[in-house]
Amino acid sequence: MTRTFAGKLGSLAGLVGFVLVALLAGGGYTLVSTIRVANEALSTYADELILAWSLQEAHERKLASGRGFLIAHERALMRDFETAAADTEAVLWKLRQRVNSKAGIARLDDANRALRAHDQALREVMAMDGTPHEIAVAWTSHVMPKAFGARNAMDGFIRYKEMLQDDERAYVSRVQRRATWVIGSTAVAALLVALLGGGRLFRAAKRTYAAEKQARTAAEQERHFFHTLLDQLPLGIVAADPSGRIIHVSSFARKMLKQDHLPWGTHVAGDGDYVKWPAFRADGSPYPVGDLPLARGLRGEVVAQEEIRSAAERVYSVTAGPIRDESGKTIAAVIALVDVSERKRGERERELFVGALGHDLRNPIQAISLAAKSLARRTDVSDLAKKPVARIASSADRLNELISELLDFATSQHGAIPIKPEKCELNEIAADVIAEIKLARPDRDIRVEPQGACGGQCDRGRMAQVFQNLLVNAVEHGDPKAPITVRTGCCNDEVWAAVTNRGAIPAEERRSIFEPFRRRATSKGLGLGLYIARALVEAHGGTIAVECPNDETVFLIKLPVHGVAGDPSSAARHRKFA
Amino acid sequence: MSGWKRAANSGGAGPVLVVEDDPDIRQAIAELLEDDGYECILAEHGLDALETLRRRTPSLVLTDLLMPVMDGVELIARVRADTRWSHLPIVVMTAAGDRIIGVELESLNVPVLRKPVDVANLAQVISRHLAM
Repeated sequence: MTRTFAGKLGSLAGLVGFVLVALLAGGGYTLVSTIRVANEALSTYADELILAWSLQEAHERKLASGRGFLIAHERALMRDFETAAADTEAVLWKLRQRVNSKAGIARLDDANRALRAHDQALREVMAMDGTPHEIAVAWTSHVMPKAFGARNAMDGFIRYKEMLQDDERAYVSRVQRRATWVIGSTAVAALLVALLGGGRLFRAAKRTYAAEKQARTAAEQERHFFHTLLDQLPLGIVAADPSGRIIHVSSFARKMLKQDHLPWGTHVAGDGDYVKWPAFRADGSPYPVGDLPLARGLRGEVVAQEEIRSAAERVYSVTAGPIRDESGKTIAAVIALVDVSERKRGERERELFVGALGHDLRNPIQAISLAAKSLARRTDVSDLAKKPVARIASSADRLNELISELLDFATSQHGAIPIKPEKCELNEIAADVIAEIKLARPDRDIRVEPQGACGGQCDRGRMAQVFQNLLVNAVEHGDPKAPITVRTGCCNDEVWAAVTNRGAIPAEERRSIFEPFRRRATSKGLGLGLYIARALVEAHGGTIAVECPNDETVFLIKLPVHGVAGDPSSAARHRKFA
Repeated sequence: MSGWKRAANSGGAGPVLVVEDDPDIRQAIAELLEDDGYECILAEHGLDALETLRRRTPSLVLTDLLMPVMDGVELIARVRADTRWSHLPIVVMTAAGDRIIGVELESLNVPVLRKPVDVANLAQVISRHLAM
């Protein structure tokens, strides 16, 4: 029997038992108190009876000594008489004090009156002057009736009291019988209930218990599952209750932080722990205690992938938020930690790589270019050498361009390419780029067609790069017999530019056209042109898309008029999740 | 020395101090400028440039920014702080972006040539600033 089941049975039995005990106690108490009261009454009656008898006895003495005096005229008898009379008074008085029932008082008063009448008669006869015969007659006719009357009255009182006593005794035995009945039948009933109902009670209790246990086990299993899930998620999870007390630390979190100490931000400011192990933002500034993610989560704020550097120089990406119940009240806050130290190191290494690309690779190329161009300017160089020298120079330039492209690609990989926006007109930028391209390809018809002037905010150099990439593509892949047009305009909050050439791009190619290192077999270059163009447009907070209606290819760029709105890399992130 | 073109306003001017840590570029620029008739003194980095300045005052400083030991930004600051050289015209060549070693290029108040340096541009800029 488990403790719970025994408990249930016990409480049921306890309930029944309590009822029975209550009945028994009630019956017993009634019995006992009734008997006590009755006993008190009986003893009172007994006392009164004793007094009444002594009254009678005193009265008889009075009578006897009175008659004796009448006969013998002895002083001593007179004294006896007075003593007896006094005793009679005393007892009467005592009785009068004790008796408080109306009937009793009435009878006592009767006795009192009769006694007084008798006394009076007696004293009158005793004070009589006359012959003994006269006195004897007076005694018989005057005193004796009064004496009988007094005796009767007293008898009446005594009988009354005796009757009360009998009544009382009868009452007690009645109560005793009744109480015995109640107790007996209660005990029998209890026994019957125990015998008949016990079995059913037992089975019902067992069924209830089994159902309850099943429900509890299922709930327990579910709870255990979620607890295990939460605990073993390969994420560091820490939860705190609204007061800031930590209520859960997943085992992954413990492992992750074995070598480290990260304050959860629920300590009161000035807590020694936090002062000893502060946490820092990505830029190196320390977190004030109240700004740590868990504290902000408790205040209802959602923290998204914030990077925290611990005192042990590890970097964590932290997401935090409040947990609310159905009524919207915050019942806890939870943070999820991911150790991104390795990734950060990778990013740092990539930054170094980009730096190396930018500086160390370019310098020798620059030297080649400078030297070749210097050679080209000299007049003592033979004509045969001119062509190779020109090729060295142009190849060096080409190498430089390729490195720039790779650099842009690498930069765009971890965030947006930085841009410096200024006031600009897209059609002007396009026109400059077109002029340059026409220097190299005077055979191609490229024109700019502005549809209304609209100023915007953009990085001129970078937008020129975008137009360069799009136009070079158009020149390379478009129908050479048809013109290439760049239309610009503005609409609502955007400035737009559309680069159009004859010749459509097949649908499958269109789908992946902006992806890096995608190029047709025939084209030269790394295949980064459109990828970088898109990265640059998105760095401006804009969008670029390609469509091929009517056997034409149209690249449409849209930029916000007021420059970059919000986070330029968000466009890229949106695209990733779309 | 036949074949050397001489720039119109060379000859009278003092030497150009070329500060550049990459040896190939340093040589190439020196040759370019010498082709145009300028005398060149060479330095590897900022500290080297300061020592060279002490020995001989040039008429223009052409310096890279990203260099070891002492970078271009600090060199410019020191040159400007010294009364002997505060009048010297300074031209910067750099492959870096608008913000380098924590400062905005604009704040340096010098003409900036972006690498890869255009040869014709280089000669023009030098002659313009020497003449000033």
